[in-house]
Amino acid sequence: MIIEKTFRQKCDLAIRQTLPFLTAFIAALLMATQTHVPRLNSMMPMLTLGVVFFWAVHRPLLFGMGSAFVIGLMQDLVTGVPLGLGTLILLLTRAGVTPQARLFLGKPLVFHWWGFILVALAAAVASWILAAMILGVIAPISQVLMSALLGVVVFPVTYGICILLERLLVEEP
Amino acid sequence: MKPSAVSGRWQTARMVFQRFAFAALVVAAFALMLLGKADTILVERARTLVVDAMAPVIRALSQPAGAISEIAENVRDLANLRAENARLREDNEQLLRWRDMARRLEAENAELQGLTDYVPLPDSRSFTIRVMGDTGGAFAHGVLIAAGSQANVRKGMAALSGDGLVGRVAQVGHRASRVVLITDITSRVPVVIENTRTRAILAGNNTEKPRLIYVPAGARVSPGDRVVTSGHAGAFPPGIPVGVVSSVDDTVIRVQPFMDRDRLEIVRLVDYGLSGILGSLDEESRAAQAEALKAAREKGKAQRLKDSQQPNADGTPQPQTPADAAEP
Repeated sequence: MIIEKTFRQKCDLAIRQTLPFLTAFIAALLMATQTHVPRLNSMMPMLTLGVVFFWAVHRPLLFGMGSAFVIGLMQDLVTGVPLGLGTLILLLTRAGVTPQARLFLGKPLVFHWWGFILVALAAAVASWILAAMILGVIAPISQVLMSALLGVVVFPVTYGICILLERLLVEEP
Repeated sequence: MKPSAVSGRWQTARMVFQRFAFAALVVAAFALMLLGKADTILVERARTLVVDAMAPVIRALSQPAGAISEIAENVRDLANLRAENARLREDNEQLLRWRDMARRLEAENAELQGLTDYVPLPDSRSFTIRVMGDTGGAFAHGVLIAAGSQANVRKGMAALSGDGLVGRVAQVGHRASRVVLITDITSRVPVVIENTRTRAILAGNNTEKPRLIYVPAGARVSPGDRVVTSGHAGAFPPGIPVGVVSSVDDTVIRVQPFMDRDRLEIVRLVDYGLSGILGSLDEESRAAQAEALKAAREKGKAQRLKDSQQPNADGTPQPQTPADAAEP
């Protein structure tokens, strides 16, 4: 028997399905907010990378490569970093993490954390090299590594929020 | 056809599409990098549009951090109230003495300017604007301010805080603008060491302490020297405080800026009426600039030709400079 969904149910479903994209979108905008914490603004934690990592593992179908591309592009435009830099990093993260998703699914946070440490380090080094190539000058690598490290430190919080949101995705309306 | 075969083909087609999509998106990302290098005007417009559209969200997201910071600041202020009061009294006494001296110097200055027919700098117009976001990160140092062309913000305006130079307006949207800080890796500010009048360029390097470059050989620079804008290149008027020399070694001179990026809440935008190196880059202006440059080049070439044809006192023609020889 086919049960026709009501308009409200359809809207509800559509909103739930855009949650991964919305969380990454908000994370990207959070990277451009003023924290007033000394020295933090020059090494903002890689929040967006954490969010993309989570959805690439847990909901790759709801957070496709197109989403990673759009979020990266928007982040580049808002934060003023060289165009294409964040776009490529998020895209590679999404493409590289999803095939390894089964290593993380159903495992405790620590496994995800270890995985994210590797991803954040790789992303930091890759973005540093790319930025040097685009800008023609070498930015201090210590700040990029600190940014990755802070991203790793706040990852459990990012993970917790994304887990809560993921529960909304599976609950029936 | 069996359903499993259809499903298998569908899966294969989807996989091929996904692989192709990934390759296409990677190529697109590299294309964006090239576009960012090649067509800065288009990219700038795109950045302005996106920042303008996102301004209300960024402002809303910044508010909790601002409120927490304000509370922390209040608590700190309360704890330091007595000491702060004593310091302010002392400062007040000192400032009163400075005020008397400034009045005397102002009168003397006006008198001397009258005697020498001095042409003053153009009047400036300024307004204060709240900082709504910090486009942090290791690759760009800038802040977003909550005003754009609607509030007469113009590209190239100097951004100052109570302490000194903060940066310059680099992009102007309708409701928001971006200020590139003097610590940004792309920032170059012509400066002068205040007491020795040694010229240099303050080059941002995405750290808290930018470097001084193009310092003349043999120049005396020591830690503690004040650095102010020199007024060259028409970017900023002379005399705006920038920072103090924090360290000098054989290869690098570092400057500690007066502005404190982490406490930047309000900036003063000042329009000195200088077109500077950041003058409008629209098509008409660029064409006019190119025309003027061409005319100046032609004039220079004609002048050099004239000079080379004019004989010296001993009757031999003047030698050509290497630049002349290199000119096509």
